[in-house]
Amino acid sequence: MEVDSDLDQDRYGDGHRLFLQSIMSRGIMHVSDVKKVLSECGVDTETGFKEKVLLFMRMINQRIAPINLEIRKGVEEEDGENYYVLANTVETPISRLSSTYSPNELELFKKLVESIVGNGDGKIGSLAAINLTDKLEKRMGKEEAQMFFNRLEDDKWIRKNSDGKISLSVRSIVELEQYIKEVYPDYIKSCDLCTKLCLQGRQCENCGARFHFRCLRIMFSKQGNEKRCPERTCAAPWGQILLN
Amino acid sequence: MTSCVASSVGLRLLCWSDNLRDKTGLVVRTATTGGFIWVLLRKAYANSIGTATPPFPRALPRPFCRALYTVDDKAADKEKDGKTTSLNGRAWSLVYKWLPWSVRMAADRTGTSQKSGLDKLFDSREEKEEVINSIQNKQDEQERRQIRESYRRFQDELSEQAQEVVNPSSERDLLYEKLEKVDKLFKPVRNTREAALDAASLVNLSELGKKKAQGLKTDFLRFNAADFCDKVRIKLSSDVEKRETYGLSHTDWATLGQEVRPYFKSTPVLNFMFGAFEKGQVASKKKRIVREKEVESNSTKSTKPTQLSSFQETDRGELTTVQVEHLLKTLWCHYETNKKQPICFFEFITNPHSFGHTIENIFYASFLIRDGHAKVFLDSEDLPVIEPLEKDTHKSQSQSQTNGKQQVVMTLTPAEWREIVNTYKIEVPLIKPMKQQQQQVLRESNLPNHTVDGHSDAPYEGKGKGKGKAKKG
Repeated sequence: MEVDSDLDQDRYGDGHRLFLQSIMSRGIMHVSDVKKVLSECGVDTETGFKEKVLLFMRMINQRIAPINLEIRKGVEEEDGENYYVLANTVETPISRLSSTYSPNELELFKKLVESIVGNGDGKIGSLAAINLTDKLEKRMGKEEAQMFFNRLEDDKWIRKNSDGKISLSVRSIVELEQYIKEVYPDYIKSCDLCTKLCLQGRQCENCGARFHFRCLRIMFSKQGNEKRCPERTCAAPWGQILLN
Repeated sequence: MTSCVASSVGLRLLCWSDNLRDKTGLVVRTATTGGFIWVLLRKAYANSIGTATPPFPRALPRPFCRALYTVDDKAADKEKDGKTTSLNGRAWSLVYKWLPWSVRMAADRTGTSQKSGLDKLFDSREEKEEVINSIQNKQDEQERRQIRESYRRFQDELSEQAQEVVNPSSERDLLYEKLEKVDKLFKPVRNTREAALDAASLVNLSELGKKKAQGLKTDFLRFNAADFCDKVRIKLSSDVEKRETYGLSHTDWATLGQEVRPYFKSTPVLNFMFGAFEKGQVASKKKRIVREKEVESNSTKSTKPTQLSSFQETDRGELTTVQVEHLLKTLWCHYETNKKQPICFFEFITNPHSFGHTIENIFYASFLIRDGHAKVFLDSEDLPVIEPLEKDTHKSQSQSQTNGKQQVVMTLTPAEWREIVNTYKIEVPLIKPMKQQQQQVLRESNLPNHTVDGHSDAPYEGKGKGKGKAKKG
């Protein structure tokens, strides 16, 4: 599709619309996919990619803000990859109608979020997740719950880690960050390096400050051999060995 | 008598009708009924003279009068009062003679000036002329015979050439030609007999025409759902073998979806979590405190086993300690000989002669590691190697703290042990087992413990199991 390349700078054009449609259908897009789509939208992806992307997204966000949507960027906790997510910003009675999951399933999801947030390392075993159905007011079978979790995984709301445990994917975190901060303010910690919500992460032994895996990796690569806790007050040598 | 009168009258009437026509423009139509020739004068004439019935002299005898009237529904139009307006021909011819001169004159006059009702019957003047001709000019019998012959010939031709006529792909439009021919044949037809032949020919021709129309291939594609499904399946199925089975595979459905997608315009469905459910209550702090306590208790439990094991060690009276020290010395020796390179773990601990002793070695090695005298790690090839460490108090403490949380449980079956022996080609155990005497002395000195680990003889003899799982703390 031939699109003028200066559309992304000045006006909202077909390129923006094309990108919006593609992210609407997927919900979450990896940075590489974003790059591919943007090159088709007519954005020059070779030079100055970051600024162009920022401008591009900002243009789109301006347009979709009146309908309570926003494109946000997030980092997957486990592997540190960048993703772009189309998120809902406001809870209204209309937005409650929008979901394709049944109210009971959503209740289960709420319980899942609660247990993941309450758990220290942001993960929950799959069996424990299925057993959450016992807490529901309306009964749900275990198989049904398993199928629901599979659907959630397909839609990329939750993620099965390498150790088989379930955690919230970047899509859920980006969209529900506000919700989690409001409802579970005491349970959660923010990463000191990036100031965002940190569910899975490493804790310093000394001071207990939490950091994302990715944030730590970046920090340690700058520090060199001696790994110290990034917290200013602590600065204790970092005891853990990152085996990545 | 009446018949004779009629025939004579008829003849006269014919001549008279000619005259009449010339003078008045009226046409006398002839009709044959039962051998008699009746002449029916049209109502037009009756209209023209304005009277329904011509005046009769009353002097005519009654039966004669009755005979004069005919009720002819076909020829006559009924007047408003329902009476017929026609006279039978016989009567009329007789009457004409007695018509008063004035009436006759009137008839003559009006006939020419006014357009007669007769004209209304015909569509055109040509038709009228034709009809007049047909009445007047009797067709020659010879001609008629010829016409009939030509019709019969036509019918024969039609039956012979039937196949060619019906064939829709023939070049000549034979059907149309025949139609034109039969039209031409009809022109000279005057009589019903020929007309009947003509009608029969036309019937045959039209039947042939119908067959031709049916034979035309319209190539009208009918949609047959079953055939369509089959074709779709054959096109999509990637696996040739599976073509016979029902249904499409998962990838085939995906391919179908891809092919069909450009033809449908649909908007993507937006699916959100935030806003999909109501926010619950703000979670309280109590739970968190409880959780913390649980964590603490867990950690204390984990330290307990290590404490107990050390306690047991001192109680035993240095049996394990001696072994461990022996192991450490061996490790240092080999480390020196190996040019300060870490030693392959399996090579170090395996005793090719005794499985039990191998397990014991692992057990003692775990103590070394726990206390920080040695460390085990994976080398560049991901194989475990063991390296003795300088005993540094500070380091060991911090390491033990951090390593305390790392636990590796290692299992070794006799089969695996044999495999290790074969793979690494270990023939001589690196760790020399302590002499039997020394061990026995030690055991005898610790009588109270003798009963506890009375089975400790067994592993040294090279058979049986080791002392359970080795723990590297």
